[in-house]
Amino acid sequence: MTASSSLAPGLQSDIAVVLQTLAGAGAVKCRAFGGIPVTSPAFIAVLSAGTPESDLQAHRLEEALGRTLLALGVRGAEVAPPCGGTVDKFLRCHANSVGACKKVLVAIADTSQAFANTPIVQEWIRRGSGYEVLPVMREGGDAATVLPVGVRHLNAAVWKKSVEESVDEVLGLAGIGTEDRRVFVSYRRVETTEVAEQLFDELSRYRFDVFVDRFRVPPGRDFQERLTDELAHKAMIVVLESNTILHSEWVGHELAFAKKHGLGRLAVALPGGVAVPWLDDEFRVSVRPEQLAPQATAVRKDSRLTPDCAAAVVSRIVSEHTRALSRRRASLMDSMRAALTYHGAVDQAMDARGHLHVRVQHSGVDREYALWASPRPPDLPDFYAAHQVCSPGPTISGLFVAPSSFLEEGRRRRFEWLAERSLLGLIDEGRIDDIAARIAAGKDLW
Amino acid sequence: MTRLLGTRNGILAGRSVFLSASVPSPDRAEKYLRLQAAQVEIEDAVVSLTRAVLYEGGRLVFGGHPSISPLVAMVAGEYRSPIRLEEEPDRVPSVEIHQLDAYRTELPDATTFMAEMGQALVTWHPMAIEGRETRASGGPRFPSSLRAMRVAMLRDDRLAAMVCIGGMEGVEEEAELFASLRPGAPVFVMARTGGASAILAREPGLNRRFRVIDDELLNELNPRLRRSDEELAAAPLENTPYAFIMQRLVREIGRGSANG
Repeated sequence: MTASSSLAPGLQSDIAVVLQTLAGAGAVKCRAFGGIPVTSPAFIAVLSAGTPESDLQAHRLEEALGRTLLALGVRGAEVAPPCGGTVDKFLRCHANSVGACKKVLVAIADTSQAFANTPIVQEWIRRGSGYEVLPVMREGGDAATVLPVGVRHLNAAVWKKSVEESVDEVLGLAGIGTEDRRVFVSYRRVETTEVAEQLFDELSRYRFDVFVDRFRVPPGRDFQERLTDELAHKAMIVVLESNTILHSEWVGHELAFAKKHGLGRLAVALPGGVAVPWLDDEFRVSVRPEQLAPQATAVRKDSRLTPDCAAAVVSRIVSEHTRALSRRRASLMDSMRAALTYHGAVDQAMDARGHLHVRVQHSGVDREYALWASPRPPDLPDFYAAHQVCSPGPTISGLFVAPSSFLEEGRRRRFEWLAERSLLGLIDEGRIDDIAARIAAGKDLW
Repeated sequence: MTRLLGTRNGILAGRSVFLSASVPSPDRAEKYLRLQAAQVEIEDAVVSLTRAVLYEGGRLVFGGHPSISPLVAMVAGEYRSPIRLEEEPDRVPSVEIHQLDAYRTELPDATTFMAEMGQALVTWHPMAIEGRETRASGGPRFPSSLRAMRVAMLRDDRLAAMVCIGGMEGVEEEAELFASLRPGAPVFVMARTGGASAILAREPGLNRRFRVIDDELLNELNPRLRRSDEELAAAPLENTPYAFIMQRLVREIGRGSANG
């Protein structure tokens, strides 16, 4: 069974993202990427203004997009596009016929010269709704001069030092979001405010949503809900180990929560700090006194990390985040696969987005199931993507395996309501074996 | 709609499972194998077991450990709402943590809090010996008191089975005691979590009631996995599927309890 059979249309060969570039007089260049966890496939077309300068910027942006896409998933890989890597005409791609595919044209303007490739932009716009345009220009440029006609009313992505600053906006418009790139920073304000803010700034450049614990209430009757609100949608917790970190009423709860859900975890051992006792050293990065600015034997409220140290800490956070998220997702899916196989549902296939498709035959009836696993509660994009696969129903039964963080009755009811309308079942990982038995028997999920 | 949460009041109703687990420390790695990402692996196994037991209406019992206790107590919070004064005053928490009196001031805040919310029960045990106890180098601080606590803990007639995950001397002692004090109740060993569990799994003359459940299930499963989609067969399971293993393990315990 191939994963793409009987699905709502996806890109060929289970490609997650097609990246096409027209820059210079050369042929159109096509690249394809698979193994990236996206809720919808995407077609990103990068178009230069037709000048040497914009050609250069287009190439740089294409390379930056490629690097970022590969970093988004452990199984992320560049794959051979169906066209062989070149097409005879820019914007020609099978992705145009895939309704669920996001389509974004990135128009790279020159600093001062007019946009010579305007007809291509206008052709794109004529294709109708679903065809997005993102103008990209350097700060200081005159939009009325350098941007193509027809898109001057749009908000442009403006870059200052490098066109790579636009990667975030391109991927955002293409629906390749940050929903899994959320980091929670636990720290003591009296000691490490500057370091926390510094990490906030640095991680934001890597397309992380960074949450610092600005809102604190003492644990109380709504304690579980409070922790769930703050952490349930995060993929990682970073603890700044300063001298009084253990005075925090929250850090122990936060770490237990992170462990319970297999979230990434990293302690930054700062000079003069104490180690939280519930983390192994393999989840710890140490900062030496000379790596603080100003240099100090104990971190202070106004201390910052030196640029090299900050870069090293952030790099460690990024890699631990990716590792933990991928592991958690794979772990849930591995348990699902094992349970399905145990119960005899061996006709399984995984698509490029990491969704598991299962086909069973029971009493002469074929049934197909599509399963998603997530280390975090599902978001609206997850329900939408699932609905794309499962609609109009009831041919494909969808199931989302997620952590059971919804102790609060109201929240649980809302998720169940949304899941029903998305033709999606929701279970927590404690029921994997149960559900696998039902699937193997070709039963309804609800 | 498939309900997201809740217990089934199922096959483990009225029964308890004894958990013996810890993360082998790096300085004991010569004897107690420490896996790569040992902490994550063992925590994953513990969380999966807790969920599987609580989902089937069972109770989880164990000797307190600073890295295990808060984790288990927090999972318990997913299955039971915090106790309210006006209702269920006699409700028995689904997690029971045993601790020596000497550790009263060292109980993690998260554990204390969950106990106050009625989601975990902490049972305190007196010290067996006044004053200092003789301890082996690198061994536990109060060996005699710990052993006495373990004996008391394992006399609970509701204990239907034991599960060993990772661990060091404590897991070895608890397995030995369980096998002698609870004849007829199975001991499930997770060999792939390393530590004392890996040692117990390799014991020549292994007690027949010690089942190396992870190896058992995965050895049965692997040939069947290869018959599935080619692409998946080329990418075997990346991780030990603890959620699946623990849920099957709980089924085994439930079947064993039903058969008396």
